[in-house]
Amino acid sequence: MDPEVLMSTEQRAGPGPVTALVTGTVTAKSFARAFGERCPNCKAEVASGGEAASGPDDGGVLRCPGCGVELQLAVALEEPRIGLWVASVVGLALGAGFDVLALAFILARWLLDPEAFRPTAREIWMPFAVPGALMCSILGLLILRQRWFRERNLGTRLAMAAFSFVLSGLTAGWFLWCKQ
Amino acid sequence: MATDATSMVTAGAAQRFPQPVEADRATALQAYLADHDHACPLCGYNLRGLRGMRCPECDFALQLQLAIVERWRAAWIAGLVGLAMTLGANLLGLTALLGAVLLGLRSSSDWAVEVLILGGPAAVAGTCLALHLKWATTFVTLSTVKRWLVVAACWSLPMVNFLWIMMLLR
Repeated sequence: MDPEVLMSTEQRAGPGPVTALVTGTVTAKSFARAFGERCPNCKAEVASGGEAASGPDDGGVLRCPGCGVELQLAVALEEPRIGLWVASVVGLALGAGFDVLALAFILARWLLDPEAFRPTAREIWMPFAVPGALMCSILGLLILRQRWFRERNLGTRLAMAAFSFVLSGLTAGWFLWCKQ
Repeated sequence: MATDATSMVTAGAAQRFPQPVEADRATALQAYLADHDHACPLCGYNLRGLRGMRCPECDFALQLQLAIVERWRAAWIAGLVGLAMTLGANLLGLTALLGAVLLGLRSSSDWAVEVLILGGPAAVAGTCLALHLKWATTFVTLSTVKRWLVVAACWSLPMVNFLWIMMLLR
């Protein structure tokens, strides 16, 4: 630890929990006390009632007095950037669900009663199979490449989230267009 | 009088122990990373010995915080995808059906029944999706087995939906 950093902290904050935090090893409990941290899950105040739980010796593990989850110190992004990613996943899943269920419905009907219901390849591929494969691929890519999405700026992430919903809406429109 | 005395004591305590400022968070982060290997949550760069509060590789602002030990997010997302797919299947099915009626592609007069057949599961899936989002904090507290049971329940919904449509939508 840089002594200069320590000195400047002591001068700013005076003797108190912050000094105790930076002069000793940073543990989950000392961090929670110094900054009055709340549980990221239930927002209960961890500093006062958090019990030390058994765990790895990398800053200790705390148990939240509110919901009981185990908490540990972690380095995280200041802005989590996860909300729009979740929105995009939901948006794409809507369209993928439509295509997959419609395709399953058509194939099941065909298999159960091939005499009465015989769809052409065009009726299967064009409206459901191709867009379904496309939507599922994009959804899979989005889930696997979560970091790539989170690295984009706010405008791009917003545009991608909106586009995922528009793409899902277009699958219904595409089906109608194919039916015409 | 008693209130005044209390407030004076509180004010004194606040002066002696001022609230931590951002600079102290930076100090805490640096102190933690001085003797810990920790990958950047975005680019995976090893942050050991970090100076400042930004990742030297991807330049995103970082902070030290309490995080949940259990890895719960994958299961939660899996459940979310299952529910969203069920909702989408019915909601977009409804949209396509209404579109077909409006465009005159649908001549059958029983389309109102089909609206109910698709609308019912859409309402159920929508409610389940809203509850899944609202109860994320409870989901985190579940044991691993229970968490994956919830996911299985979320994915059983599209299966039930499929059987429902197969039975009623002939």
